[in-house]
Amino acid sequence: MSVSPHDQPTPSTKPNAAQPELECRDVAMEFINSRGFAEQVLKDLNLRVSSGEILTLLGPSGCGKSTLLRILAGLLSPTKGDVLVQGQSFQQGGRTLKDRLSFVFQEPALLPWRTVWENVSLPLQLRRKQKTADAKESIEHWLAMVGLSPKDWSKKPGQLSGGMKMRASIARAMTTRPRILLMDEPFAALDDVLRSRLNDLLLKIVAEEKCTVVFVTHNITEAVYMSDSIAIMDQGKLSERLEIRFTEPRTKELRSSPDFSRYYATASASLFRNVTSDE
Amino acid sequence: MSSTTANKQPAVWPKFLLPIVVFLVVLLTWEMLVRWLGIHKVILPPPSDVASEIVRERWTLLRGAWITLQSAAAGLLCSAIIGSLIAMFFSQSSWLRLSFYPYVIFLQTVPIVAIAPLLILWFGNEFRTVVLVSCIISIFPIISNVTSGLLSINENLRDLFRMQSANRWQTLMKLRIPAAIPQLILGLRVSCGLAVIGAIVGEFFVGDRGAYEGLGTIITARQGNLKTASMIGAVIACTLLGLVLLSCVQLLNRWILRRWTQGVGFESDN
Repeated sequence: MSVSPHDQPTPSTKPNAAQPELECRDVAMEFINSRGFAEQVLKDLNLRVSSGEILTLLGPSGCGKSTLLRILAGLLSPTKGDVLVQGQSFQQGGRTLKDRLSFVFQEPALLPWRTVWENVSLPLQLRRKQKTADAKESIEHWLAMVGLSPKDWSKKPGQLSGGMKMRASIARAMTTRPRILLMDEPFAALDDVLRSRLNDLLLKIVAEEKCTVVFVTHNITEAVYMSDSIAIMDQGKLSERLEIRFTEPRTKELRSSPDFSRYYATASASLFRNVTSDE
Repeated sequence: MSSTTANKQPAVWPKFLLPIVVFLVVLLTWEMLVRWLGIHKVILPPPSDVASEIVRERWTLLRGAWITLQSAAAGLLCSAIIGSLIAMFFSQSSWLRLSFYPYVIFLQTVPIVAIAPLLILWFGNEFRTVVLVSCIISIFPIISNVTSGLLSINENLRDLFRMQSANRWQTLMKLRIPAAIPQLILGLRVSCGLAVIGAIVGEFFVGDRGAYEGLGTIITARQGNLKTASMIGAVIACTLLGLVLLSCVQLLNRWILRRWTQGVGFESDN
């Protein structure tokens, strides 16, 4: 286990460490609040995510996690600084660069008038690729992969449970074979059992696809279980970064192992040490 | 029926029977008052006279109702199409909305009774004028509801389309328009009553000068002949017509919304 302050990011032990998959350089973000004053949400933030790494942004509500994720997705432009995806900024890379990213929202964000199958095919449809030979195969592969049986494919989101909706949402994010998966508290609304099942599903997908994941959560157990590293955020800054290296595979048993408890205690202590904001 | 049974299963009959009882009591009071007070039939005919007039003029009334229904339905259809197109135009830019929305509100506030004679002058004593009046009076709820439906899109859904670099057209066709359908139907429910009012007002002005003979025309003609019982019969037909159109829209509402989300309300997680 290694615990390092984030101000000088620790070089990753994974391959391609020289060229991070995703990088934030001095990113700052200001919003104008309702009273007309500028409010700094992110402050000169530096972050490097290596290829294949699962990085969790952990912090209290309102610390800027979701804003950072939206900046990484290119949905928001930072007031200052740069976001580089595989060494290229969004201005340089344009649409091709955006195509390498996928986003899973906190709520499943399915279109209620489309069936599950139609929802999952939406990204390919918007990229005008839904009629290609392998599109159908890819959609069906991902629907099956996330655990949705063919009888659910023709259902509308209103007929699905919360967990099934989230599975469809993950399948939709994966049909475009993203290199980077950005997830904004995707399992926050689910119960613990469902959450841990979906955590395992996500780990399986990431292992197979070898994609890089930036995962936002405020659940410490989930953060420790899922991550290769945890970045603790508070008041718009990355205050600490914890590297997680389990010796045993991530299975149900891992959660009750002494190793897991140690990481949990470290992450928890780090969170409480760094979080100074009240609400 | 014992009170215990009534508590177990609330009876359905009062829901239908009580309004009928009220209706009969009103009719009876009306009939008796007219007779006892000796009110002249031109001022207020008894309901029995109204009923016999309705029976006597049933075919005229039915034909009139059919013509008015066509005008109101055509007016409603025009406001649904034109109103939705205007709303789509508005949804494209806040500048467009700021520039044109005041005129839409103006359209809502202009008294239709004041401009109807002008419309008659421009378009003649014709079916199309009645449709136009009906359309003008019923278009505002469609524009305002559909515009709000097209604009109030869930932020995550908007971001989902932005992440896929969807263009304006794709976002409109695949996200905004389908999301606005329930709002369009809500607008139609408000507008259908207005469309009937518009058609009848239009018919008042068209009068019996042309070949047109809707319920409004019948009312104006009977007013001229002091046939009050017949006028009341036409008024009852107008009310029933409004109910028919509203029921059609309600059926459409149920059918479309059920198809839209298969009978389940809009997305609610868990």
